[in-house]
Amino acid sequence: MEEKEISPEQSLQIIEKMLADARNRFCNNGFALLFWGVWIILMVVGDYITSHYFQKYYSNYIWMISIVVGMLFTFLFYAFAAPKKRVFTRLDSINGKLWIAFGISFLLLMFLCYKYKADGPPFIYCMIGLCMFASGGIYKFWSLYAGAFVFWLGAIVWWYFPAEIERVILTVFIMFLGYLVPGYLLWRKAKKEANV
Amino acid sequence: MFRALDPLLHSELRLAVISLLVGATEAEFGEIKEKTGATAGNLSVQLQKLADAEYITIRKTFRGKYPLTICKITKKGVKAFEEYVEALKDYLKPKK
Repeated sequence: MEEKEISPEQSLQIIEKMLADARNRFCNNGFALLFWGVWIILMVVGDYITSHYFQKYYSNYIWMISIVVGMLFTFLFYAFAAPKKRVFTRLDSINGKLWIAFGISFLLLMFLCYKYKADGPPFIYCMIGLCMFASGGIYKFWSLYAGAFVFWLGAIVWWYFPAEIERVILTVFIMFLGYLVPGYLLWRKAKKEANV
Repeated sequence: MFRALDPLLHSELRLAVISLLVGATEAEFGEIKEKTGATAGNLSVQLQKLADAEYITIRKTFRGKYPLTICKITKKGVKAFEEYVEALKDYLKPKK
């Protein structure tokens, strides 16, 4: 590219191309999806084991501590580690706010589920589906849309598997397809474009 | 009557830089160079012109041992870009 006079049509083409390039340039390497996918699978399995081999009492603590630790770890990663690797784009910032809103809603929902003695996971899956779908729209990345449908489907299917072991398996399955697979595809795309 | 197009933006390379930064907010020198296909020397000159007009800021820092130049669009730059696009619409409207 040189410094030369251009026609209005050429101007428009340049603007369109560069804006499209900027849209495809994002910092998101799927870290959060991969981390939370693995973390929740460990929590579910850990919860199942403690509730069967130890006192049931520990179960709630595992969830509570693990979620807070996971949130803290995610925050520290995006606040301190990620910016050293790459500058955030406006899209990353919008996506970040979306998931912060999810985190707050999640904590409120947990409180409400506890108060009303409701089963939390189907509602959480609905919210995750919403955020995954919106993230898919922000980044124009199809696997995030697919992940959203996995969570929505999981929210419905949840009621058909009332046994505890069935729900453990279902959760692992949902996390694998809904978080880990899209997370891996994002990571692969980011690595390919050296955007990590 | 057509509005005049901002001469600072009405240039292939500077327009590409500003368009990229409008979408990305910030970008490293290496990435701008790669996306625009410009030479380092030419790009440096054009970035300085945009910085002189306060359309962008140029921050020089280090990543490990290596120097790193980060360009960021300013509010003035975003406004100039929006005005440029508005003016451009006049030129692109079909003639009656």
